[in-house]
Amino acid sequence: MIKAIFYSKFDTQEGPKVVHQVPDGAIVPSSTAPTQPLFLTFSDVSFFVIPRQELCGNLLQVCTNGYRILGYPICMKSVRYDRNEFIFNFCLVLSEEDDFSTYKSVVRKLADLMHALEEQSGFLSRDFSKNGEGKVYSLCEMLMEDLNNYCECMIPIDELNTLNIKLFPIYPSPPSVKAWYVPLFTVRYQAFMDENWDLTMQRVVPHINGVNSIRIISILADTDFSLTCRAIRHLLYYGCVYLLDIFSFSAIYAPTAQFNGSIASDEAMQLECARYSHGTPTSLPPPTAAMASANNGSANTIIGGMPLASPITDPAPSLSRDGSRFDAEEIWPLLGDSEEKSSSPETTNPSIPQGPPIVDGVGIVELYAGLKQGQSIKQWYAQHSRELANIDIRRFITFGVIKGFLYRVHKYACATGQPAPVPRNSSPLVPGTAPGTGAMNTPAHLSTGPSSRATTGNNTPYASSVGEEAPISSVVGMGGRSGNVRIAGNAPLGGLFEEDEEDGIDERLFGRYLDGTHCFDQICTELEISERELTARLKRFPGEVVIIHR
Amino acid sequence: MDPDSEHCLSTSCLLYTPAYKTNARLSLEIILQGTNHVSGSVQPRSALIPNTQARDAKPRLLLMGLRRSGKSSIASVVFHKMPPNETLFLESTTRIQKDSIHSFMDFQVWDFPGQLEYLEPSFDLEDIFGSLGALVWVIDAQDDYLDSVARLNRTILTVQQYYPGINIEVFIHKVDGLSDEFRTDIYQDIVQRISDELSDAGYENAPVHYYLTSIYDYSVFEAFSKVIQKLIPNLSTLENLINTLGNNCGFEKTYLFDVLSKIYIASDTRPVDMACYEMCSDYIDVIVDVSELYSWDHPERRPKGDQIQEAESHVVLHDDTMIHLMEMNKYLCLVSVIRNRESKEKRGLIDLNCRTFQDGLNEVFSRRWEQLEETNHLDGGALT
Amino acid sequence: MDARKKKRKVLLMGKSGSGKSSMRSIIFSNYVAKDVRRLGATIDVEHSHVKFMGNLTLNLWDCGGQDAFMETYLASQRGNIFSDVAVLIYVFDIESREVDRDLDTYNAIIQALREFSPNAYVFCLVHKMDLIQAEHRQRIYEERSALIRSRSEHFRIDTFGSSIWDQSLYKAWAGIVHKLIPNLTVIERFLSAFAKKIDAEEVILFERSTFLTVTSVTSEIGELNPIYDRHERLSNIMKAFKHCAARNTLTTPASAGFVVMHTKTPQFNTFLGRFTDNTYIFLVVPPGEAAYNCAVLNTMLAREGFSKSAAAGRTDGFPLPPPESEDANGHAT
Repeated sequence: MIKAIFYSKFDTQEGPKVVHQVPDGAIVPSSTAPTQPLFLTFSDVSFFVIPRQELCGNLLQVCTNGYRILGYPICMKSVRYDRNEFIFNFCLVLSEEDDFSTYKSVVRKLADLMHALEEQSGFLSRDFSKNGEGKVYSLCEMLMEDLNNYCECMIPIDELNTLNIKLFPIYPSPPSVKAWYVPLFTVRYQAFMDENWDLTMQRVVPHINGVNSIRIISILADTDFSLTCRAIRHLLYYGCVYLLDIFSFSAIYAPTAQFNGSIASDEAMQLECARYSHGTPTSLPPPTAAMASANNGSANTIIGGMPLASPITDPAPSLSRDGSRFDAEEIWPLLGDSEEKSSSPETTNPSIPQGPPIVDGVGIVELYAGLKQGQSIKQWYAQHSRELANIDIRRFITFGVIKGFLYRVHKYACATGQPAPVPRNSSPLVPGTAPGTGAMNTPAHLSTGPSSRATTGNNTPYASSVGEEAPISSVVGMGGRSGNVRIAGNAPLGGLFEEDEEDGIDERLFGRYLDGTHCFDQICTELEISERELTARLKRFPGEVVIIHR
Repeated sequence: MDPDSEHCLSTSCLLYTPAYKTNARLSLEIILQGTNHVSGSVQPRSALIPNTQARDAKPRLLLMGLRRSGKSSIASVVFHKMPPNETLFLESTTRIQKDSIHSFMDFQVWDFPGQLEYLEPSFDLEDIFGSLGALVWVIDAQDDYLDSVARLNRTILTVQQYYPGINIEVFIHKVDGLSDEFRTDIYQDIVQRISDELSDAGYENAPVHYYLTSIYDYSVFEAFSKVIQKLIPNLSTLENLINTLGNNCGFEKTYLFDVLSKIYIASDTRPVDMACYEMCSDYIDVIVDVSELYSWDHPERRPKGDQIQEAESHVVLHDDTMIHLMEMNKYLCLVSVIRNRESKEKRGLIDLNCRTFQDGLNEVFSRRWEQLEETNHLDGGALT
Repeated sequence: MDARKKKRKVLLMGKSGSGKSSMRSIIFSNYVAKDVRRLGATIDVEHSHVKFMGNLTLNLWDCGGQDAFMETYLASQRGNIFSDVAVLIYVFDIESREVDRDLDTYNAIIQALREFSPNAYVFCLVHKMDLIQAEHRQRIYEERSALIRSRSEHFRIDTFGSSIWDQSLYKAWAGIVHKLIPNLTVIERFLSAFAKKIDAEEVILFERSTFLTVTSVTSEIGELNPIYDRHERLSNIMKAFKHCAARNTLTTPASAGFVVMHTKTPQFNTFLGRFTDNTYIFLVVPPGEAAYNCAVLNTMLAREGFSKSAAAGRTDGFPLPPPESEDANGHAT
C-alpha cells in the first residue's frame, strides 16, 4: 500500500525541495492542508532524496519514522539548465515493514519515463505549477490511487506517452530445469491458456502430464529443447508446475524426515492422498501394460489419459477440500480381493469394521512406510499388491514426492579407475536381498546396493515413459517415425534396438558420465538409452564401476 | 591612424595628373551604374593598381561578412589582445574601423560593418579594394550561412574583375562548440557551394582559401598567420633561413612570431604542430606579461653589468621539453621548441646561431623597407 | 601536531551560485576559468583534503549554499559544521539582488561560528568583481566590505574583492594560505637574508601546485615597482602557462610544471626554479649577465642546503617551529 507519492527536485536557489506531494501535506507542510500531521521530516532525508550527482541513477531507499522512502534520483546534465544540471526524484512512501520489492520496478519505471519526458519536452523543468496543481501533480495523484486500488494504472501523459504500470508479485527465479525432470501441472492450464500465449508454450503444454520428461516433451512437441526448458521454467516461476523425477518400477523411493510430521499424522493429507491416487491400478506390468491400459482407457484414471483431466488439479488441493468429508467408500481405495494375504494390516484396522475392505489412512501410511532404501517399487509392489490393487501407484508415489515426505533415491555410476574385478567372485558385495529377482545376471561389481538388480525389470525410466506416452499423443506419428527417430517407443522390442545404439555412443562420451555426479535418469535421457541398456553397457565397461544410491 | 592614412591618400592624389584623375573617376561611375560597361573600364583600372600600391605601401586586410559573424571579435582578439570571453560585450560595428598595425611590416586592418552595402554606388570601390592585400570573409558556422555565401560570391565576382590579384580568405568561424564531424560537414558544404557558384559564373579556380576558426583557441591566429604570410615578400627566403638555423641547432620546430599579434610570419617548413604552436605562442605571453611587471623605469634602478640588449629566455618543462625564445627586433621574436637532449646542452651555440640569424633577418628586412621607401619616392617622382 | 592540524578545517560558505566551488576548482583542482561553467551545484557538503606545502593539509569543507542546506547547517548540523574551524571563507556574490538577506545569513553563520570556534579567522570574498564596470569596482567593493564588517560581530575579518577571471582570486587565496602557514616568520627571515646576499630586487616563494604566493621579500628598490598586484599576476601567468604545457604535452595539469625558467631582458633578469619539494622560487635581479649567473648559482646552493635538512627529517626542509610557537605566530598576525 503506497502511503504517499512525492516529486522532489533540486532547486538551485532553495536546495532540495518537494514540489508535489500526494496526499497534500504528507511530506512538507502545505498551506492547503495545514492540519495534516507530517509523515516525516523532509530535511532529515533530503540528502537521500536528492543525493550527490554521483549517486543518481540508482535505486535509493531510506527509512525514517516508520516509513520507507523508495526513490530513483535522476541527474540530467545539460547547459540549458541553471547550474548545468536538473536533479529530480519521484519517491514512493511505504510503510517500513511492508514488502516493497514490487515497488522497486515502479519507482525505476517512473524515473525512466520522467527522464524521457524531460528530455523530450522539458516536462518537469517547465512545470511551474503550485503544489496541488498541474499535470505532474495529477499524475502522482492518479498513480497512487490506481496502484492502491487496482494494482495497475494506465495514465495518458500526452499524445505519445502513457504511464503503464502494473504491480507484479516478485518470485524468486526458478531453478534451472534438466532434461530428465518430469513436470506436472498444479493447475488446469486449459482454464487460462489463450491463443496469445507463446508458441512454444502452446505446443509444450499438452505434453505435460507428470510422466513425460522434459526431453520427451520437447521431442513430442517438436520444439527446441532449450526453448522447452524455458517454457517449463516459466511455468515453474508462476508455480504452475512441479518438477518430479522419471517414474519407473525399478526406481527406489524412501521416506524423508518429514514423514512423521506430515502424512503420518495428518489425516487430511491421508484423505487427500486417497482421493488423488484412488483408481484403477496401473497394474504391475511394465510399459507394455501401460500401453494396453491406455488402449482400453477411456476412464480418466488411466495414467496416460488422465493428466489432461481434472485429477491433475489435485496434487495440492488440501486447502480447498480439507474439511469436507465424503463417504469413506468413495474415498478410500478398496483392497484387492485376489489372494488373502492375511498379513495385511488393514484387516486389523478397527476403524472400519465392516463393509468392503479398504485401505484407510493408516493403511496408506503403512504403505508409504513400506518404501525404503534398497527396495525398488517393483519389489514393494510385490509385497503389497493386494493393498495396491485399487491404487494408482504412480500417483501414489508422486503424491509423496510432491508433499515432500518421499524422495527418489537416485543411482549414480562412478568409474573408480581400477581394473574391473573378476566377475562372479564378488557375491559378498551383494547383501542377499531378493534372491529371486537377482537370479538373472546381477553383475556384482556394478552395485553397492542390492537394487541394481532392478534393471532386470523391463521398464527403464526412459523406455517406460515413452511406452506410456506413445499411445496418447502420437499414435499416428509413431508409426511414421519409428524407423528413423531414435527414441521411438520400441524399448520393448529390445535386442535390435540395443545393438544399434551401442555402436552409436562413443565410449569416451559414455565414460564422462561415470564420474558419480550423473544419475541414471540423466545418463539414460541424455544418451537416449534405456536403463537396461545402460546396465548392460556398464557391465562391459573396461574398469571397475561402482553404483552409488543416494 | 585614420587621419594618417587619410593624409597619405590625399597627398598621393595630388601626384596624379588632373586629366588622369577625372578619367579614373569617370570610369568608376560607369562601372557602378551598370555592368555592361565593365569590359571597357577594366583597362584603365588595371593600369591604376601599381600606382596605388606604390602610393600606399601598407597592405590592407579587409574583414568582411554578415553582421554578428564575429569580425570585430577576431580583430580584437588577434590585434588587441582582448580575452576571448570579453568579446561577448563588443557592440556591433556601425562604421568601418581602420586599424593600422605597426609591426615588422605595416598593414591596415579594416573591420567592415556587416550591414554596409559597399557594393552600392555611393561607395568608392577603389577606396575599399584599392590597395587590398587580402579579403577576409567571415562566415558564422553556427548560423544559417546561405546568405553569407551568396553575398560572398557576389563580392568575389565584383572584386575579381578589377582586382584579380586579391586573395580571398574565408574564415568559417565560431566552430568551437561544433562536433568534429559537423565541422567537416559544414566546411565541405561551404567550399562546395562557393566553388560551384563561382564556376557557374564562369570563374574557375578562384584564389579562395578556407579556414576553420574560433577565437577560443589558436585557430584564428593560425589562420591569420597564413593570410599574412601570403603578403610577405620573399617568404621562402625567410623559411630557408629558419630551416638552416633549425637544422644546425637541433630545433624541433621554430616560429618567427610577431610579438604583438602573435601571428607567425614564418616558420620552418616541417609540418605544423598545433601543440608546439600553442606552447610557443603562450610562452611569448608569459614573457611579455612578466616583462610588463618588472620593466618599470626608475633612476634608482641600475644594471649591475653588461648584457645583450635583446631579451632572451628559455624554460624547461616537466617532460624536459625546452622552449627557447629570443627577441629579434622590436616586433619579431624567434621561438623554438627543443626536445633533442644533446642540443639542449649547447645553449651557447644556440644563442650564437640565433644572433647570427637575427643579424641576417634585420638586414633583409630593414633593407627591404628602405628599398620600398626609395621606390616609393621614385614612383611618385616619375608621375609628377 | 599533524593530527591536530588535520582537524583544523576550512569552511567555504556563501549563497548558492556565488562561486565557491568554482574558485576551489581553480585554485586547488587545476581548473581554468572557462571550465568552471560546466560545474554542477554542490549538494550538501563536499569534503576535500587539500595538500598545501606538502605537510599542511587543508581540510576543506565546501558547503552547498542553497537555502535548505543553510538551514540545516545552522540547525541540526550546527555543531558538526562549526566546531574546529580554523578558517571561514565566506563568499559574497557582488551581483546579488538581496544584499540584506545575504548579510542576515552571513550574520547567522558568524553567530554559529562564535559559538563553536571563536578563534577562527574569517575571510570574506566579494566575488565576481569582473561583472562590475572597472571604474566602479573599488567603490562598490569598499561599500560592500564596510557592510560586511558591520555584521561580523567581534571577528576581525579580511575582505578581498575577487574574480576568477583575473589575478584577484590569487591575491585572496594567497592571503588566506598565508595565514595558515605555521612557520612563516622563519621562512621570511631566511628569504630576506638571502635576497640581500644576492642583491635581488624581489624574491617570491610560490607554492608548487597552486602557484599561490607563500611569501615574498622585496628590496628597497623593488618596492618602487608601481605594479602592486604583480605577485598575483605572476601566479595567474604561470598557472595559465602550466595549463598550456599540460594540454600540449598530453598530461594532467597537476603533473605538469617547470624545471627551470630563465629570462633576461634589458631591464631585469628573472629566474624561476624548484626550491623545495613544494615550492618554486622566483628571483628578480637587475640586468648584468655576471651578477645574474651568480644569483642563480647561489640559489642552487641554498636549495641544496634545504634538501639536506629535508633529508634530515622535515618534510619540506623548512625548520618547523614547535607547535606552540606556530599557534602564537599564527594568531599574532
